[in-house]
Amino acid sequence: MSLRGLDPSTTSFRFHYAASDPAQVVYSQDPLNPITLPDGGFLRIWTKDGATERQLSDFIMPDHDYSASDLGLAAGTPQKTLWLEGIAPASAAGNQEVELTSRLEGVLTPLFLDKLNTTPTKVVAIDAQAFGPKVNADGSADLADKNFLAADHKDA
Amino acid sequence: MDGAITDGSSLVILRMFPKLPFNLTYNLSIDPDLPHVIGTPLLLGSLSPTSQPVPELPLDAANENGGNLSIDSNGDGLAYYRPPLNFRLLNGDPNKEAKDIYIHTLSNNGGELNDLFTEPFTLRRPPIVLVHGLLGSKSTWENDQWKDEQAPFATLQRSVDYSDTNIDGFAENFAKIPKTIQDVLGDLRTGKANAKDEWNKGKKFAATRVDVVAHSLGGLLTKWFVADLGAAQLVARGGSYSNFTTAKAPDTNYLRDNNFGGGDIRRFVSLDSPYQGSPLATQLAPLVDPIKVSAWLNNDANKVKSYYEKVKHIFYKNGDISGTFKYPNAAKDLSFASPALQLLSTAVYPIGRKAVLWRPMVGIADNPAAGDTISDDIFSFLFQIVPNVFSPLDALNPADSDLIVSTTSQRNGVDFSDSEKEKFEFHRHIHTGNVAGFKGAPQSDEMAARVRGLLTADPAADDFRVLDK
Repeated sequence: MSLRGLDPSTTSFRFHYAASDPAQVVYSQDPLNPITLPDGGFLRIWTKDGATERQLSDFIMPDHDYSASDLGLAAGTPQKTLWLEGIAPASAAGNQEVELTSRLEGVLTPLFLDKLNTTPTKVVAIDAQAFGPKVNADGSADLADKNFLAADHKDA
Repeated sequence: MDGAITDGSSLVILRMFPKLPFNLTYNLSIDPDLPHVIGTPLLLGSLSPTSQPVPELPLDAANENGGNLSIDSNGDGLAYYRPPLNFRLLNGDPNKEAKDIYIHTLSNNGGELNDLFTEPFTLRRPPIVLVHGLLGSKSTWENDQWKDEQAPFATLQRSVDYSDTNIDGFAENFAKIPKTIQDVLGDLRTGKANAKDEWNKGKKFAATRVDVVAHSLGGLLTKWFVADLGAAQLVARGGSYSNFTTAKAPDTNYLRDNNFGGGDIRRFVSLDSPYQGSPLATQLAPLVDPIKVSAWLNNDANKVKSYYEKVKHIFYKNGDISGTFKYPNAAKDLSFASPALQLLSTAVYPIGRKAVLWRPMVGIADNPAAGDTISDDIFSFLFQIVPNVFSPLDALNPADSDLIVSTTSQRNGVDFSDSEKEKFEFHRHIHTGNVAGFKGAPQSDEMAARVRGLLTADPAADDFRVLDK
């Protein structure tokens, strides 16, 4: 993101998106379900790359006002890279939006800055023998049988 | 699924969520950061589009490839992945039980590739299902030579246990084999299989096939299962076998729709299994006399004997001597030219890619001391347990006993090639403990070492034959 001529001392920023809050992740000793994600979230925005050790404080909360200095922006450093992490696959291509607005000190109406559409994706592996399509008499797969693509195989 | 059982043993479907408005490219790699470079040697298995026929199992090594596969993600975003035949030879330690590969997914816009993301995928080798022999139990394999995930090499093991119906025939006992196979595969699929490696705990694997190691009668039961002979009607075997018919329960069929007709067994090693009949059983079977057994069990003088309970349980269900006499059908089925053996010799076995790869090992003892102790074995194993039931056992020719596996005792065996008659100096059929240093086949270090070599061999090695008549 870029300040684009905004005054860092009087501008705050707000990200609106379907966030998956890392603070709400529940960890368990159950090897089958080691983590449980909060419902509904798809994305996380971070101030650090995933290759470095992230802290909860590096997470950009949705609909929260951040000052320019919170994000590492200043007059001398007008650009800052943020990292977008896909947490859960979207239900359709491009349907996850991130909207960035800014508020100027003393001005009530937020200023629209930018919006991006993204598609968090995931590849799942399905055990073909257990959950695959029906088999025709000649041993080929019945590709007309789409039952195996049902949502309950998302985590297969 | 977090991984797959490999060596061509499982079929996986990769599916992209959600569908994307451009083509995808899947690429398999051993490097988490870099997709595989096209044109370099591959051991990663094969990718193919689902618009082509389902790849058959087991896989054909010559068909192996793992380069880029572009698929139409506007369609279903699906691809078949067939794990490699020789995953052991992937990077690193060839003896390591599990290895990770990486599925790189790239967007493909008119040939311009861009990384989307990378997911790890764990490969594990097939588990081993162990099948004990006549009068054996799970304890057959409870020794240093066979340890879950440790010996003879690191992989899951699961024992079939038919000890409570042990002396029944093939038809009564074989179904415990598919049950155990389906149990261990089910545990791998649901993430319940034990794993000593921390990173494997709780992972779910596409699992279709196991390796089987069977001792003695266990080899014939396994063959009965693969031959799809099913559960025979419980006809008395004492008279005519003319009404010896078979009936298959759907879940005990070897080739089933739910495994794409691929079968459950990848490789099958049998240790000293008498496929053409047992000399010992042939001589013992006609000697079993229900009247004599009953008289012996009802004689108060015998009730104090240490083996009284064992005899009761051999011949009567739950040891209830007021019940129906239970003929030891295993002895009948193991007799030369028995109807059960004839069924095995005329059955139709899976062929082609569905064939079971079979190594019928026969350890021939070639040590004079082994032959000298034959009478000791017979006394401990049979005479001292049921002297009256099996008399006159002294008519038994020691050279024909199965207890010492000699060239003589195996003379009626399968027509083994010389390379399959392997010489194990301190080897017996079963472990009696009478003579220090001599061990039964499942207890033998030498045998276990050979099994390790066979089951971890490169698939191209000519160690196995197709399971047949």
